[in-house]
Amino acid sequence: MAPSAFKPAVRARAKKRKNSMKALATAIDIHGLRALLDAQLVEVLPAEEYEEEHLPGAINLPLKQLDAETAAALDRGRPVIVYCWDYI
Amino acid sequence: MYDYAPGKEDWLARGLPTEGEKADAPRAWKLARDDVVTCSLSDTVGDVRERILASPYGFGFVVTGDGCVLGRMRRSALDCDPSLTAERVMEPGPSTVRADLSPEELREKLDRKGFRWAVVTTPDGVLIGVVPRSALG
Repeated sequence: MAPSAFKPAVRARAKKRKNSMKALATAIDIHGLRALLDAQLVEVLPAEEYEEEHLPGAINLPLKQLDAETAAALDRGRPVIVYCWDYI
Repeated sequence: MYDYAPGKEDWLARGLPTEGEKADAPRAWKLARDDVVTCSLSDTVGDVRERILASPYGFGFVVTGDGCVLGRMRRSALDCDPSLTAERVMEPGPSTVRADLSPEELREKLDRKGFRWAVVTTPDGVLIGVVPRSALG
């Protein structure tokens, strides 16, 4: 189920969080992603969307639950690539 | 930290593998046949006529060096001066579909437009292959 199926308020909050994260992250395209061979892939969509389908090897850290504690599972020595459904 | 900005939709639309409950679902890219004749803008009708006539599809595609679809050359257009270039005889910008469409979505799209073939490409327009309407039930 694409994010368009979620309530507007939920999407707005997700967008705000994503925009905060985007300010800290470097935007890349498919070629940039493929070049980062040792990266940790993180899908920030809700769990049910992650379970339906996700990029190979990606872990799920939903935006709503993303904080220092949940992010502790990531290896600080490797690049992290976050992704959502599309450009938000 | 990096943000794969085009997101999962871009990944799926490129026909790339996934994991999860729907990973094995039939998709356009899995159904696509990738043996369609291709040529460059500067190739002549004489260069490609025999290959297209011999292919099971009745058409070929004009592509860039990166495989991006520019146009289609139908069998019916090949009965002309063989020195004409593909650029001169092609039909530019054929309709294309995303690689992650389900068979049902493909069928609906083809039936709505009255097409017998679906041309599957990546978001960048790179040819993945073609799916015949007859393969969709």
